[in-house]
Amino acid sequence: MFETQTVVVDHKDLIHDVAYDFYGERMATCSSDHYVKIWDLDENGGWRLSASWKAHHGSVWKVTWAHPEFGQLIATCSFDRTAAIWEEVGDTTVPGTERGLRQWVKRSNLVDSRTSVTDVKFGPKHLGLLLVTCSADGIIRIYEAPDVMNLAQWILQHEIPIKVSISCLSWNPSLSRVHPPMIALGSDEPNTLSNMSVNDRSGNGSNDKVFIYEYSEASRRWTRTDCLVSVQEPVNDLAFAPNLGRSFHLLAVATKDVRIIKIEPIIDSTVAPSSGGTARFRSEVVVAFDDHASCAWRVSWNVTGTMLASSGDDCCVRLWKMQYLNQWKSVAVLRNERGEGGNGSGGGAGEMAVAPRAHTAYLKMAAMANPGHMPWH
Amino acid sequence: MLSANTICVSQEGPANALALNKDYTQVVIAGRNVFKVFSIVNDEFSEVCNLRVGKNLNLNFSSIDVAWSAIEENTLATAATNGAVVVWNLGKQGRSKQEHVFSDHKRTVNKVSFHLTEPALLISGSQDGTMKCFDLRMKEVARTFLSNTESVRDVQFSPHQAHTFAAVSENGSVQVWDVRRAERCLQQFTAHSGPVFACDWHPEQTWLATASRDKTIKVWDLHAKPTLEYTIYTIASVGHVKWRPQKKYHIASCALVLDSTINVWDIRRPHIPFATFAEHRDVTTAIAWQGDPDVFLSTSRDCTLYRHKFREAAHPVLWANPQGVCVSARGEVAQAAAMRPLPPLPPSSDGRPPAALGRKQPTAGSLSINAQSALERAFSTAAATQLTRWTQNSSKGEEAPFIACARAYKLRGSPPHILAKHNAQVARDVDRHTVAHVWEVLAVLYEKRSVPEPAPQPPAPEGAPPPPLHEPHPPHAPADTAHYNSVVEEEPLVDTEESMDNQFQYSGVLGLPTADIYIPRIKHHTPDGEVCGWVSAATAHYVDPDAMDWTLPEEAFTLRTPHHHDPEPDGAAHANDHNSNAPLVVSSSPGALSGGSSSASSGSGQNVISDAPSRQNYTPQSSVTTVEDGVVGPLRVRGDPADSGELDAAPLLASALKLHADLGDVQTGVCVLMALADYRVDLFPYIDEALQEHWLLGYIELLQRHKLWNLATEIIRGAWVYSVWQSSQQSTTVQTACARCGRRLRAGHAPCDRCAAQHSLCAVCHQVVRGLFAWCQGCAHGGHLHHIQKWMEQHSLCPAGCGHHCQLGRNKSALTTSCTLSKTCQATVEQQLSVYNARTMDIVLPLQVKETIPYRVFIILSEGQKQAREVT
Repeated sequence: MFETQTVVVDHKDLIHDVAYDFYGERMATCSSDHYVKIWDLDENGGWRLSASWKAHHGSVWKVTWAHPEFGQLIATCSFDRTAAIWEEVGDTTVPGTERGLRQWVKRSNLVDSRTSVTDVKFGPKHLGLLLVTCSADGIIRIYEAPDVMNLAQWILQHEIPIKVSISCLSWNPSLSRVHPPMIALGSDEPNTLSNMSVNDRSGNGSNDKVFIYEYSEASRRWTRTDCLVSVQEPVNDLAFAPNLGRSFHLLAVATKDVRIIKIEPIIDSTVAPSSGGTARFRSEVVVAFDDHASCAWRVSWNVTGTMLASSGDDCCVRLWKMQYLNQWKSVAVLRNERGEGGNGSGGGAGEMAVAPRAHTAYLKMAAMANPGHMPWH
Repeated sequence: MLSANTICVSQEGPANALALNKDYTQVVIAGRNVFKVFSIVNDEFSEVCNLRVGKNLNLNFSSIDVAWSAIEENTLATAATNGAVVVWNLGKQGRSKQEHVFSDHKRTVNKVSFHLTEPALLISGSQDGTMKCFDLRMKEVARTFLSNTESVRDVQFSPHQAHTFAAVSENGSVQVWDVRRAERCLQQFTAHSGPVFACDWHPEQTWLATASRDKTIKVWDLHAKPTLEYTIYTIASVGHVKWRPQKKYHIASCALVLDSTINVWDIRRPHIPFATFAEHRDVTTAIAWQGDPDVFLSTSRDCTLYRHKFREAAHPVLWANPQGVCVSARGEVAQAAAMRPLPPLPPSSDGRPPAALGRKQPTAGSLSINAQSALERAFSTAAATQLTRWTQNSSKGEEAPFIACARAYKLRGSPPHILAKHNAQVARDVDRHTVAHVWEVLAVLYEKRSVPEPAPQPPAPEGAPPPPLHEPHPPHAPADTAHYNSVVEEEPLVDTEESMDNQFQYSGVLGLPTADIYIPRIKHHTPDGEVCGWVSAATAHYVDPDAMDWTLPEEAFTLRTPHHHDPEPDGAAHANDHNSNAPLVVSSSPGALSGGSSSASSGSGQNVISDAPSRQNYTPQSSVTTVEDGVVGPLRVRGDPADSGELDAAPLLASALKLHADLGDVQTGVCVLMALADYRVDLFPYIDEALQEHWLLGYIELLQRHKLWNLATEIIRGAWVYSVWQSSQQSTTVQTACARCGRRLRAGHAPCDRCAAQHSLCAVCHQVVRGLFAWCQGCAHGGHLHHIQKWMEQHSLCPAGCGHHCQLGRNKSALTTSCTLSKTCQATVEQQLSVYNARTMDIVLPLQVKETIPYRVFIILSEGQKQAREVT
């Protein structure tokens, strides 16, 4: 059902992020080798390198696309403590092959952070051109480009100290006007109950790892409206599901396991609107999968929010699908054969010869026998 | 942050440099305001002496660099800020240990360095661009080396050739000198593009590492001709570098500005430090290994002196995310992952299971020694990464049903039930059976309504419950029951508790044998006068049930039959169908392709991968539910017929749509609402406006993601929510483009810039038409109005010779209204757009025959102010 194809990326070090654009026709990769590469889908459905440039002086952690309404625009963040905004210049309708590689220009460099910038995301389109960054010292910064035609100007609108190291963030992409702008933050702070190196930065004794911040139009501030107490382990990644018309939000969290958390706003029912607009949520762990060996690293949703892809220490991509509400099942395990190579050999990997690149691989389907289906109630 | 194995002492002022004695038991630190010797005993620093004493503390006491002789235990040398090189003798009696002051340099001395084997030789590198070799016995300058550069930042004797030393300069060059020959250097090469701040000889190899402001560390092999072996990329100017003893590929570095951490790199993996020490709060000023690969000392501008144990290192690679995964709008999955992942970590020595913390441990010192050495071995080769993509086979692409439906749905132009029937068939064709059921229900509901003459306008939302869903069943009981079964089946998918009660009521009714319902409904409806519009519609239906077209329900039934393995789908058998369902379906093979499968996920059309499990999973549940309903439902309806207002289809339909939306299928909701046209008001009490807007925007975004601009525009155009409809008014611009080469045209009559083609030529005189352009809407040829009129008086065929029987002249009004292309093209298009509310629309107007018309129209989407998506 799935065709597997290895893209020869030629990054010199680990790739930390891969991001598709709005249409799924372009792809950006970023790596520890300081480079960002842009790939375009060619006529045969393959990925062709369209641009490659040294974007930072440190590992580039994340890359993200802006909505195409704002142009061909990406943001990157790096270990070198900066986040950068890049725009493709020139006639974007001309295919890259005719003129060699495309040019991307750094429009802005956001240097406010004092530590590694761990994640960067553009806000939902309907909020304008917003960008949020988070850094290892736990500060969230929300920037806005007041003039979408002038991408050099980014105003730091909000700076929110979280006090714990933040590894990842996600905007709630909901288009509904009843949902105020919302960001989920994930912390990778190790738990303080460990007997070593007591960390005084999170001295409140709480091990909460996922925080929900909402913007209140009335107070013009971002306020923490919830902590998801169900996640107590360091969070590697999280992602809101695209919300095209749901009354609730789905948040996928990659920690030791993959969790899908349903966040249901309680606005009109019990809480009176007089409570200052701080809508509370009812959150519930819909499902938690620990199929990834010891740790899940990344999660990503499809565009309708019905399928989740996760990847973890077992070097597999696992696809999870909503069977119906609250029922999630593994529907496929995608593994590139090459990925298995160094897995078992552990410490001896240093001596391993580099095997020739394999361009084909196989796919294992998940076991389809699902004997114990829970009754729905 | 300070852990047990790392020790620290705080100073009065920051130290600029430190040096260890030859047996690594004592350390001297020197700075502007500090000059002390500590002994390192039992993991503690204890002050041995303070050299900064005496009455007149002149600038000779403030040091930039300090060196400790590798041979003479008591001999120190400092580079003073005033340009003096001061030699100290710790064995000297009295408080002042100052031995001699060389004031030969004209400017600041950056570095002093003892010869490794000759105790009396000391070299210095100065800001004045010279290096001097001092003879400590003669107390004089033995030689002066002219670097021909602005300033020398570092000088280091080679451990391999006794008389060779390397000097690095601010102009980026490296020089290798023989200390006995001052005339000219042995080697000189440009190493960096910026100033070189430090260098260090590899203890075993003939490698020299250089550190520069260009944020790189470079490793040069000076064996013969200097060759660049490795380059390490750091995030800040590199101030100091020191090779790690006994580790061939490891080198420690610290930054000159900005970054206070000390990094230890494996030069084979130049982008990520192997280990990081973050104890310092300010820039690190000096580092020195304590003769051991696992211990080193450092001083910092934060006025501290640290002794670091390598066990306390943090390993950035462990918390650097090694993987990326992304799902595209086309359903493609890409994963980037390390080809050789780091070894799984064994439990650390203090017994904490690593599983509890995952592998991500930003805090230092979390690794056991074994784990650390395993990491060290694997580190350099773990950089390889591969990117894999998984694409679904195009024949059964994930979004295909969605797109097929989006394209084929008819949302306007006919009464709702006609649209619904069509759309049901569309959904059925792409195996979205649940969606098809919704449409079928809709068709039945609104067909009934539209039977008596023009459908009555629905009254106020609360006041008029639409007709019940089940009314049309009686004549075709078996078919309809089968049909509605599926609706019942989807109900349990609603998960909100509050809607559950309702759900069961409705689904109970729907699950009834239809004969049971039929009677109470009639009874109830006849006296129910106030909702006469609906009742009359319903009654009309009952009077003449055979007038209905029942093809759809039958079709639903036949499709479902194989799924149930129901040999005799007659009415009697079917009444028990709910109860007999479960065993039958469970026994059927899970992977069997049953046309009537109503699994929720196939309804959402996206479980290409998951068909089998979901189906198997789904059916038993649904049958359980229907069994329950079969008991509850009839009792309720019979017992309380007055309650039948709740049997409205509207809330049921609304919850069905909401269910689909919650399942990720917003298309159904939007399309149903749109197809209902005016009747959609029925549903408004149950689907508030914000949700409608949410659905519309969601669906529009989804269409745009698939580049279905025209469909998205149709939705915008048909949107009943003003804020959505309004978006068509935003930032729509129109441009014309050359039909031959596609280049955008300037305003007016200028020929195309690229192909120089003249546009809007008159078909009769072949001149450019200025002003009014009369043209035939049939073949799109035209020209000057009077030429065309004249031509048409004599001919009926097109003047361009295309053979078309032009309408020009016969229908004057048609002619005049279409005389629009040339100058007023833009206006026309805009006018048409305003009619069409097109954000992104094929231009339907003037350009029926695009190839022959010299204009194409570009619409620059509001999506793409910079993207200029062509719509042709």
